[in-house]
Amino acid sequence: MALFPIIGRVVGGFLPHLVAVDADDTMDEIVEKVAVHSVGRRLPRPSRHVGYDVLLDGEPLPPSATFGLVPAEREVLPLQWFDVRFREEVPTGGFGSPP
Amino acid sequence: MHLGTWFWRPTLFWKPNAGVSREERAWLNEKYLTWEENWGVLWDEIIDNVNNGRLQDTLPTTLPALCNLTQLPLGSATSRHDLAPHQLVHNGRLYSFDSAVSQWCFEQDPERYAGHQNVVDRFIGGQIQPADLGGGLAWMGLTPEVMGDDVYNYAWAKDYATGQAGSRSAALIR
Repeated sequence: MALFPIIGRVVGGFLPHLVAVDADDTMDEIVEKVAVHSVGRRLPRPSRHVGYDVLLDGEPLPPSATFGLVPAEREVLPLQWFDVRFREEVPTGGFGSPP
Repeated sequence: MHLGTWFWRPTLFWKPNAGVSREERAWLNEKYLTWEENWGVLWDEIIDNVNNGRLQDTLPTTLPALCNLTQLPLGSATSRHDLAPHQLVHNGRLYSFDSAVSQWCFEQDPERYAGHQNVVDRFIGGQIQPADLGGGLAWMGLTPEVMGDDVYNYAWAKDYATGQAGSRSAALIR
């Protein structure tokens, strides 16, 4: 276990938080660690589960990748800013949907 | 600023007055046309938690990220949709700023500011123990009898308690 400090922001929130992540954490686990400080506290939960992406410098990271593998491709320093973003909701079956 | 100080009220030595009653909210909407979209939606979640007995969800569980120049939390003072990272690397260390202006000030004279450790830096550097929010509060000397809480004991939120399910839309159309 190797904890690493990042700055995590859920897109739509008004500030980012200090979050400790682990080198073995997948992006999905990082989502949970970041979102817990905002979603259900100041940001409403989405109307249905649409999933989240983790972004570094605006680019989504593969959900199955572990945090420890990211620095091999991108320079990640302590307190690096990561964004967590709700995936776009895809309308289904409603007005305007294709038949 | 109001929302941030209120949410991190245990880190204050005063009782913040920031909660918005329906009447105050109507005034804010009249004066600031984007207030509802930027801040009302966030207060709605807090109001829901207060009125449903989930006060623990209205309290922080970690520190906000802090600016290496102003020492203030990174965050949006205007539109939450405009919040963007301002970070740079100087001598191998990543510095964070609450605005492009703060970053510009640092860039003019980096040696004046580089090396200083804000509370978050001290926290992750192991100078604050235990390394959790409780440890941070103890480091700041904030004991339960002096730390901040809602100045009106959440009375403003009771404004929304009647017909809770419709409180959000009701607030919007007032």
